[in-house]
Amino acid sequence: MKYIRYRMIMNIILYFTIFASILFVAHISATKSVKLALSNQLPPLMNNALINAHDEEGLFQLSSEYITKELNPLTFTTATNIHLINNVFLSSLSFSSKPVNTSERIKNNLHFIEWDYPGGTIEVRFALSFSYHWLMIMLMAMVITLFLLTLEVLLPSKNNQLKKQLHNNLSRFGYDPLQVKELINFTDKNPSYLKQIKRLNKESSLTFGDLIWLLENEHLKTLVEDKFCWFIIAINQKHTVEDAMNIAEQDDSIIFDIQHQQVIIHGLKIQFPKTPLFYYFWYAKRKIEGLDGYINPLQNKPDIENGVKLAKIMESYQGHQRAINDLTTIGLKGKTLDQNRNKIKDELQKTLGSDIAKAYLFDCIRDTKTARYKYAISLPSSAITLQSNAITKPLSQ
Amino acid sequence: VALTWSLSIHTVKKFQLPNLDSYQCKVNGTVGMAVFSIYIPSNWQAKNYANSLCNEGLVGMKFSHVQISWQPRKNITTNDILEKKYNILWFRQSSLNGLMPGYNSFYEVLISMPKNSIYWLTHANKPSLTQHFFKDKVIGLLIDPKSQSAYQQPMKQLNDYHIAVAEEKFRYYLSRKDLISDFLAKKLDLISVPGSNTVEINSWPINKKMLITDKASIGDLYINKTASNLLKCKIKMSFSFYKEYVNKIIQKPINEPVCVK
Repeated sequence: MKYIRYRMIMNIILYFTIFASILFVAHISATKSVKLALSNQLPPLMNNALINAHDEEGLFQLSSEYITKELNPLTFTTATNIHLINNVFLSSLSFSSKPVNTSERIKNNLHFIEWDYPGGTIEVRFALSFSYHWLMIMLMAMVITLFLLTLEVLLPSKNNQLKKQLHNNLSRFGYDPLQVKELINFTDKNPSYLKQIKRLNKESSLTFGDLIWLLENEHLKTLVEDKFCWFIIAINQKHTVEDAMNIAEQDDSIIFDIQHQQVIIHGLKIQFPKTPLFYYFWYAKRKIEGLDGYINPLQNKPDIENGVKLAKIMESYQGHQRAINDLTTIGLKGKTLDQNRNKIKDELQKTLGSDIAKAYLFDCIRDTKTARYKYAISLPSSAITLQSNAITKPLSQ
Repeated sequence: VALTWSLSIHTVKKFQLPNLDSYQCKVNGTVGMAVFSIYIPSNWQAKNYANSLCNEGLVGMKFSHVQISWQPRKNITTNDILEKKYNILWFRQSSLNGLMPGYNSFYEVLISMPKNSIYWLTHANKPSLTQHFFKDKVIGLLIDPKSQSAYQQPMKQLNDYHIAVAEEKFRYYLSRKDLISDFLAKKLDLISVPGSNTVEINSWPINKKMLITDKASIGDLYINKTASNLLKCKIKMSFSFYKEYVNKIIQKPINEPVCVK
């Protein structure tokens, strides 16, 4: 209902705009053509008559009588033979050899033609009074309006088609009509938003208000590829939309905050179970120290040396006593390493999804000498921060 | 926009402006069909003269209209004389002769006018006809080369006295009114005017004046030779209208033969 009323008002405005422009164009074009015809013909005639004219005033007066008598009423031709102007009267026409100043011209709403002749300037001022064919103007405005409206309906422009499509899509996403209307204002200008809106709607818990905030601030433009994924992850972690934007904008990084039993990935805090976190930390430390990927020890030959090192880390952060004992007495076992790497993977994928998590997991390369797999954190060491002052001693000596 | 524009554009129908150098009136209680055609070299009193003929002078004669033309003299052609286009014309004898040496088979003098004087007017005291005086003087003339008083005679005198004036020192005017007002505004150093023109010029101090000639022709009134005596007489009488003005300006009476009805 509201929409129909809106259309009605728009159509009426359209009609009056067309009406006014018809009137304007008719008036201006008629005035201009009268002025042009006069300024073409008048100067040579007047200059001729002025030669040896001892009575300039008399000549001017007589000439204006002649011209108004001869020309009135002025009639017009149009391209279509539809006449919007019945006729025009030259209601006054006078000559002067002393041009009036410009401000006076505007005030009196007169038209002026001016030319120089040897020894002076002649100015002709005239006024036109129009007699319009009002009914015809109304009819023509009506016809043009209807024509334009029909055109709009019959030939839906690309833009309209797109709008329609957007409308359908947005409705399908589950937005109510008012929301759809609001969203169309943005997607209309930038249809690529549609895909993002669809994903946000489907994959995130973003509120409608926050979505509008994003659109208004044109943030969706900057949220491309991975950034968009990070944004969704952050929103789903109950971050505010501003925080989520922040997180999305960050570079790849991981901070080990063992005291709080968490890692901060890409600005996003992820809680970890104790033991897998220590293994993760141990791998990270190796990476920072520039050590090569770690090859799992053979089943029958646990690595005591590294086991002790890991146990020391665990000890300083209240790790599980059993795990510490196992490491110091038996050493680092391949099976335990595999288990913990899998746990790390599960933890990360749980929050980040497998695609995003991948960058924070392990490279697995077959060692050329032993033909066994060695594992190292994929992330470059520069992206890794061990936020811990307890462990300063390097792992390898 | 283009649609609205193309549909509502109006162009004025081609019109032809009337000539502005003639006037026509209808003879009171006309009984004829012919047009009585007059040529005079200036629009000065033209309308009034035509009206006096319409209202009085030609009443009862076989003319329906009086038409008076003051188009530039250079527009009058030999054919105008041959075809006797004008019933009467105010022209100089020398010009008529130039157009048509045997003009007197077509036109004869009806009223001969007195000779006029033409003067240089200056702002400087004691002007002289010397190269020295004219040096650096700005001279105002009319643009019409047929003008005796403000073109031909002053040019002739400069030539006679071997006074050379650079072309850029001349200012040419379309109307005498502008010429005189620019002189009075001291934009011009010298102008040449017929013996009497306006009050200012009339009372111009004698020591700022130089005579160019006192024998300038202001033309004579010629009439179509085939005109009846009655018509000639009527025109003579009607021309007393101009006579007054001519007398006032030239301050010499028109030498007028008696009209025999």
